[in-house]
Amino acid sequence: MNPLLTQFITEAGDLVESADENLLKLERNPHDDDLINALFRAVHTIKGAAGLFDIPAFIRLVHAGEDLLVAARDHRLLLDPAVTDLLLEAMDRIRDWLAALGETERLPDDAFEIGRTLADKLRAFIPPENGPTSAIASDAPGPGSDQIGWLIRIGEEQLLAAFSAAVAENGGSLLAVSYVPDPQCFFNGEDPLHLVGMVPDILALHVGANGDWLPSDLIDPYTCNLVFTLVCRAARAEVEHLFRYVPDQVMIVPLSLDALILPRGRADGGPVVDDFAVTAARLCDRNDQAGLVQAAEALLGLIDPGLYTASIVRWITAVARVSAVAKPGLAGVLAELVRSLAEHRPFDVNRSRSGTMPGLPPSAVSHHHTGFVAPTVDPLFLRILQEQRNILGLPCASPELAGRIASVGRTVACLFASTGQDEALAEVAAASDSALLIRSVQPLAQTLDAMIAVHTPSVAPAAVEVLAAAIAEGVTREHGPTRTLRVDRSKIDLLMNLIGELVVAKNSLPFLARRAEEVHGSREMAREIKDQFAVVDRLAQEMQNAIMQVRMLPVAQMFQRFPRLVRDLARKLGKQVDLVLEGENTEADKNVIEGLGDPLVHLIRNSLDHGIEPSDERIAAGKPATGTIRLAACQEGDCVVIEISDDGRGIDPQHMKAKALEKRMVDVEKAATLTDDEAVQLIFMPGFSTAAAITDVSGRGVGMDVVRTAVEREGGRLTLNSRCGLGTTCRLYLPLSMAVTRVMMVETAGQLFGVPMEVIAETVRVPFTALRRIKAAETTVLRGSIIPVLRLRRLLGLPDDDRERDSEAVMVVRLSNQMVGVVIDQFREGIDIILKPLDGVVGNLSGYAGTAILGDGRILLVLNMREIL
Amino acid sequence: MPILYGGEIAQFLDVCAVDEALDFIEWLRGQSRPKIDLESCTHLHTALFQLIVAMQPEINSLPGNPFLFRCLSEAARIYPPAQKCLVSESVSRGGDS
Repeated sequence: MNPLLTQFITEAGDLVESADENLLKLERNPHDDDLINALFRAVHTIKGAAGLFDIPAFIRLVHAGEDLLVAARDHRLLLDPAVTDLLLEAMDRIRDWLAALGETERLPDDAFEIGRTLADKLRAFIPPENGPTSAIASDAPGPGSDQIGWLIRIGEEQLLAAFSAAVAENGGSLLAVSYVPDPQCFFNGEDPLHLVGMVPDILALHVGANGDWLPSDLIDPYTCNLVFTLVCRAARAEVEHLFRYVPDQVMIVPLSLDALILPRGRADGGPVVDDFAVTAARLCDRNDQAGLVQAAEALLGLIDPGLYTASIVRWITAVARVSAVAKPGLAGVLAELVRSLAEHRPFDVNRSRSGTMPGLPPSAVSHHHTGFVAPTVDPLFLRILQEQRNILGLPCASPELAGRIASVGRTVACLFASTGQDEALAEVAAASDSALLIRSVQPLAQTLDAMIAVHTPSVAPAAVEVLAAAIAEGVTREHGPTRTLRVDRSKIDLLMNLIGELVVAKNSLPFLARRAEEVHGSREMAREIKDQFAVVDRLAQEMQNAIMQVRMLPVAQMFQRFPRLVRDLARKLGKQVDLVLEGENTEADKNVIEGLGDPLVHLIRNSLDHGIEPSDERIAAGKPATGTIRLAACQEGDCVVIEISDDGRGIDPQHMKAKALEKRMVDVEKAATLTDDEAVQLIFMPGFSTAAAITDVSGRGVGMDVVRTAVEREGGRLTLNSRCGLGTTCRLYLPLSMAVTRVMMVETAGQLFGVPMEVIAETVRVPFTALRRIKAAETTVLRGSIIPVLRLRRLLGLPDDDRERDSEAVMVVRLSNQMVGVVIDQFREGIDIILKPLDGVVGNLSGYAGTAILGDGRILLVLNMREIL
Repeated sequence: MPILYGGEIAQFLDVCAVDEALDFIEWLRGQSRPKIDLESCTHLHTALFQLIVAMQPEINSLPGNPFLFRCLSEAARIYPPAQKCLVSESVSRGGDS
């Protein structure tokens, strides 16, 4: 497979994981900007990387998600559970697609359709970018003129022509596109002119230099220095698709018809224009478009075409020509054009949209007030401010006026004091003083208006700018020192095996030293070999530790999938559950972590489904309505312990006994003698599933025995404690690392066998007198409890021991919480070995876990006690 | 050769790719009054287009491709030193097309 694609799949997979995690955190804390930013960056990076491959459905979906997150980031959208569900669904889809890409290098056939549906659903949540929409801007939201300031690069004739064409042919949304190709783009094989040529239905186009041209002898023919600006009538998705490889160089903004009206020219007026303004206003009122066109054309003959007013008059002509036939909303635009002429001020398309603007014009507001910079906006802050302003607006008898002004002034002052905005505080105080002085709410009301304007979250900055910022962020981040290295796992395994061999090879040096001394009689040589051995031994140990560290991963990797699982299941079951994670930084071998995922899922499902009660039941039992599941990891000795506990209803031992009897797993006598704790352990018996109804979540007959088997396969063990009504706790004990196994060597019938250290509970010498024979079975009493005693010689079919002795060496092993004594000939030392499983002809032999090579070259058979007993 | 250089005039033929840019600029620099003929040009790479816009050679005839035609007339209009009459003509033709 293409190595780039491989890398993309791994990286995108990680990013999806982190996005998932952040989404869940966000659900608890929807106002955390850092989380939203992190989420946005993850999705944005996926999108950027996906652009390298031909996977349009994928890009489209991620893009929709990204747009949604931009809206969330700008506080235009709150990530409520419905949106989160959808985003999670999108993440799942992306994960599926990544898997498909990994297998077949292409997306599934239905990807396009699914991607589109999902992207549309996502987009449906995105609020329009601008609040007020004009009557004519029904096709598309009209962005503020600041967003498309670059549109002015297009000449007026072209815009006039585009305007007429857009009115004449109704349909298709208008888009403004600004495309500044990268100066080095020719080296990437790009041809910007050709790209622009593929944009459908271009109504207006401008191609210009990005800055000045250099003198002819300095021009570099391979540096692109062009800017393309165009207005076209096309579906946004289509244009975005065209420019999909250069998203950071292009701005695509939906345009309302009236946004094309960009008068320009020298500011100058004169009496002629004033006369015309009066006439035009009259004609406008009478709705006499023909007369208006006539008058305007007459005026154009008289004035300098380079003036701003001339430009306005040209637009009046254009709009008047079409406003009768076209959309009625244009009448407002026409009126505003005429008004701006009469009032000697620039044309402001926003005024025509909202009709008459009450209160202060927006420009005056921002001008009036520049005293302070708004901090991050708290919605509550804004609401209080707005409420106080409304109070000022209420009609009020004059005696109460002073009191009201003072009270509003105080409230607002407190508000600003609470956020530490001293400048604003002073300003409010001054305004309320002057309001009291002139006995009018006016000064205070104006100040409040201005402050509300400053604090209101600004209508989304151009999405593209946000993108650009994010890209810049991404770039700086990526340029930091790389701290991780991705290595193929098989390489690590190889290294691991080699080090294992080295350890074994090293162990032969002491034997060599002994030979040097005994066979060759050179004591000095032997000592030197031992010295060298010490050095090699230390290095080998260090290497072994280092490679272990490489394989160690924090359990957080395994834990991170659970918040999602718990959330989904809890929603499905209609329960309220909190998942508490602890000790995520505990490290364990990668294999262990990977092998544990499924058993843990099963345990958590059990806790959710059977353990945690529905809220009403919990309240009735005097517990908090929300249940808690705790997932904790810690290190105990050479084990990693993972504990899953819940505060649910626990396991009822009586119920367990009844169930076991019903399923004929135990007989009546046995059931009667079972302690509560033993009854609870019945849950581990194969085929034991107590759920009354098989649910979607658990209870499919795959019981706890499967979990236990899986854990034991990883070399771990599992314990379960439950207190009826109070909850259940499961503890998983796992070896820190499985690469090196510590075994105890035991000698039996002249042979050496290894027994894994983790199954050995203790080693004792039992006098013959303490061995009791009950029929054929031997037992002994060890610290007050009876344990069965077996003989390894018999288990392995070796001849009985006929040596003279008065006691037996007994190795007590722990198997599934049961103690068994095993009689052996002699204990030897414990050693670290690299366990090699049996394969080939001897692969089917049961009773042996594998083999290991000892330092002197002998082969040690390692017993699997579970199978032997 | 997609660009034929004949004395003062360069003739652009069919697809003119980015590789021509270096030769073209050398040629432009060497001419006092360069003229170009784009009538038979079907594809003009941005690099060449940019040189035409920046160095303003006299354009004898515009290409038939409507988009190239539009771009060239548009760009020429913005950098119009001595080509006013060509421009006004092309704009009116552009309107018709």
